Amino acid sequence: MSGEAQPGLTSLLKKMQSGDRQAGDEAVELVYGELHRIAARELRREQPDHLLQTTALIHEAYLRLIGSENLEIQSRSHFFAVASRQMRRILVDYARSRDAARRGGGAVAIGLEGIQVGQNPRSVDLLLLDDALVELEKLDARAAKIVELRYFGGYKDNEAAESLGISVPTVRRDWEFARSWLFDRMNGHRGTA
Amino acid sequence: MEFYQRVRQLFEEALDHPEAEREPFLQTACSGDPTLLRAVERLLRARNSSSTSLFLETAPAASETRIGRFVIRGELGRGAMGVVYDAIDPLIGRSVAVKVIRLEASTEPQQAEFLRERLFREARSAGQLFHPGIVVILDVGQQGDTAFIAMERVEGKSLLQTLAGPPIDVVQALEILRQTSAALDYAHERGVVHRDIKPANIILQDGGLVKIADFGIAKFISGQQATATGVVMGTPSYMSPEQIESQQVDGRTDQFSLAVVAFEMLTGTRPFTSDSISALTYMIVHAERPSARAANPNLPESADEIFRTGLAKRPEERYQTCSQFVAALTAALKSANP
Repeated sequence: MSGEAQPGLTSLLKKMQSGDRQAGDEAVELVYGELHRIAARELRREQPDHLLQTTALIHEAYLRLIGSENLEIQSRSHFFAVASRQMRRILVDYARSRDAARRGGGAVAIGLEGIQVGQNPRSVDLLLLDDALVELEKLDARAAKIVELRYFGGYKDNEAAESLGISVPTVRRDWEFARSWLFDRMNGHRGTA
Repeated sequence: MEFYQRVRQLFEEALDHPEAEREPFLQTACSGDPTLLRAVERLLRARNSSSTSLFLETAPAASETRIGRFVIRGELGRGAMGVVYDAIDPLIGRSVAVKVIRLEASTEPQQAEFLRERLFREARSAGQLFHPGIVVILDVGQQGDTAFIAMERVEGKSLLQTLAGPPIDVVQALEILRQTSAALDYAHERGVVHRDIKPANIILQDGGLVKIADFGIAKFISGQQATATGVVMGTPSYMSPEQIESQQVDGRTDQFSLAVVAFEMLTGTRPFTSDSISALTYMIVHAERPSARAANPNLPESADEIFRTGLAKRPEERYQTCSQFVAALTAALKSANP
């Protein structure tokens, strides 16, 4: 585990700005890889009260990938966007695998029991949320992106605003509506709005 | 896509109107399109529910939901202004109750901000109180557009629930009053006034220990509306004249409310009752103090005088401490029934 940052991501992010799609893909995979490694480590800990603090994970990934370099705003915005998207990917995949394991019955490994402990009815069902978000993306891509940044990325309003190049009040309005829409959707309403 | 845009626009326009005007606005704006109206109404309801349940405001967790540092285990109850959660403080491993409060009491964000500041200030002063008769406040904070207060988890029935059952005997009533007054005097000595003493805020634990809940913050969480002119309370039955007139309050304000509670415990009725809130508040400020004996002839004559003092319109005419009130009442009742 090297203590040094991978400078590659910085230049990839810069290239993303100028529309280099391949650089974009590479950046995504780099972030995903790092985040996934860190998240998996946290999820393996299996303490009954462990919490996945996405902000901490993303911060750690950021430090590993970019280190102490100062990213210019554009690159930082790209990082926000990429990191929160990948965080979502990781969490949803995790929830899906957990779900499959539960339904698969049979060969449940001992390790998986740690996942069932502390299963809290108040937790948001990530799979349902993901489905609902996919629907929202078709109707209002920006609002869905804000949910991704805020919820999966743990970013604050001003960071989300920076990432999307909009104002903070716009972020808040989008958030307010998206959240109500998702809540309504996840509680069983289909085929409207 | 079009439908979505219209729904969203109406949703935001509705929110620009004060709560009371939203429905009329929507009726007009959606006239001829009930599907549209239903959709917007549903989303407005979803907005409220998602706020009180902190939907998406707590971090996605592999196994749990947190408010602040507290891990949520379930729901304890729902009030008018928010939900109370059963939670655990992971730092110490202790059970707590977390009340979540939606701060939107009006349309303006400044109002919500103002409320939040006041709430935190109240929680800070109530947070100085450590007494066996007072529910301890452990933490206060904000998550998204909701504020939360974490407090000691207390098992037991409220006096309100108890009063709904068979009448309390005199000895038990006096003991409840004694403990409550001791806690109130403790707080008053430290400059903290409760301001909403009523049976719902007096918790009777199994084992006999009495605790007062929601010191100073009661008006934020017991279903009250904030208006431009001030805070109007939900149940004025226990309010003192000076509170109704929005004047200065002090320990004697709580004494008044405690006297109302005592009256209710000993006679089964409240000293001031009316069908309308305005008539009720008028009575509290202006009407003759009622006779406790008229409601319960078993009480001694001296009881009437004690309640007259305790329920005096002017604070300087009342007992100066809650304990004095309870001591006088106890002496009167004991001498009548040795």
